[in-house]
Amino acid sequence: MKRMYSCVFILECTALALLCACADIDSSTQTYSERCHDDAKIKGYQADFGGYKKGKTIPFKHSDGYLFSLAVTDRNNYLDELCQKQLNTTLESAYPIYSISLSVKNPSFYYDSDDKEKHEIVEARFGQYVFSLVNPLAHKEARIVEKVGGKDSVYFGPDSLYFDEMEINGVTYKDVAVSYGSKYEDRDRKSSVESDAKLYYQTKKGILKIEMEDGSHIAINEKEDD
Amino acid sequence: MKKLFLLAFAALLFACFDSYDPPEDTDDTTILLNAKRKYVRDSVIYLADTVKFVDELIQSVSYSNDDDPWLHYSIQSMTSGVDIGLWVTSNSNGGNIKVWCSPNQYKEITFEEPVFPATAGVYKLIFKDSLEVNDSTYYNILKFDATDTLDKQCNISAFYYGMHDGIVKVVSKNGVELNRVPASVYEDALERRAEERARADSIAQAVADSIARAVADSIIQANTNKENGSDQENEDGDSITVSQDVADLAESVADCIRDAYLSGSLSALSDCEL
Repeated sequence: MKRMYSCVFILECTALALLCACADIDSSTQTYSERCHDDAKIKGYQADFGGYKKGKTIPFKHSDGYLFSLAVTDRNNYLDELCQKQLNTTLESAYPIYSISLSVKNPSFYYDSDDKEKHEIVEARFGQYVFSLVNPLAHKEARIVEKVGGKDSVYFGPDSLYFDEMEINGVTYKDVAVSYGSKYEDRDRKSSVESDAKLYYQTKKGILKIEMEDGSHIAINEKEDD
Repeated sequence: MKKLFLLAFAALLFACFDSYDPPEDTDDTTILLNAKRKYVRDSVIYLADTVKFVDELIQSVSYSNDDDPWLHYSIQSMTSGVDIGLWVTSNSNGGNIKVWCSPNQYKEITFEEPVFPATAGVYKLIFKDSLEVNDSTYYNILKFDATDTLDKQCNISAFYYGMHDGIVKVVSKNGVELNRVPASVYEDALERRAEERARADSIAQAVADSIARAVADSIIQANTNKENGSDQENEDGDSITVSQDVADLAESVADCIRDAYLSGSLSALSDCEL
């Protein structure tokens, strides 16, 4: 009898050990809501984009000569009911009447590093146009570098998405990327097509220039008058 | 006692029904719903200020003329922040007019059973028989007025909706008027901008060519040799020979500088070295 109890005890311990070993596998089947946590703060490139703070104004110039300011009228970082981190920023000007919305939507956890990278985008909406603003450093790393005359020479041409430097209204900006916009065709914004609109940007100053299909553009205008 | 109770109950019921006054469609709502529209369901219009700015907008309308008629009108700019919606309904629960505008498109301003001039908080709807806009006269105008408000719900202070024509005027928060203009004004603006861009590009090209040429010449100057019997002569009558390698190098550097200048990249300029 005593021997039988010992065997049962050993069997129970073995079963318990097996159960504990399988607990890691069980934890990987956590539901989405179980993995959700309450830290809404968005960090990195998406949070740093433009350095926009509510109340900040940025001077701009329209190609038709208008001088105006884009004011940051809204900046909101929160966790939504689907456990997604959201960071929404609104830039507005009284005249010309512009409302530019910048939105970031990230899950509160990632499955892997690739999953994280594809979410590092700031979406900019300008009228009927929408631009996906990828981290400029990603474009920099994707450039084709060729050997020319024994030295590395960076290829850049009309299709380049990255510029080491760009001068805009008398001020030089570094690490500038460009995004080609899509254009919504209907009010419900359900379908979009490619467009020739371009948005130039950098992490530090945010939106630098938007070239529209009607031949006009707006550009940051930071040079002080002499 | 029982009869008294039943009588009191009946009287109560009668009082309740008698005091119930279901809202009715106002005549003003009906005016909006019945107005004959000149614009098609989806069309493009143009608004311009008195200087240079011209805006292209898409307006769309859907409606129903059944027992509970309704009208949905919206207009959105291609590039600016003008984004306005108008929703007129008429049903057994009463008529109303809802307005929404950018940047709060999902927050409606509702005018219940509107009789013009109608108010909803600080917002007003005003009816005008006609409105002169540039050289045109538009009739049966509904003006949405958001002037007397510090509320940031709308990025405009007013719009004028022509019941037959759609939006004919928008006023910005700082009072600038955008008036309805024909397509030719927009086309002229496109042409003007293309000419300005071409002029700027040709100036930039000329400057780039000039700089590139000057650099090429200085390279050739620094690398030329004097030899007898050659085609070119200097001011002393001695011959000057330019080797093909030097000429190629000068041309290559000139091209590099021209491209870098036109692209606006200072770092690329520094890469154009011997």
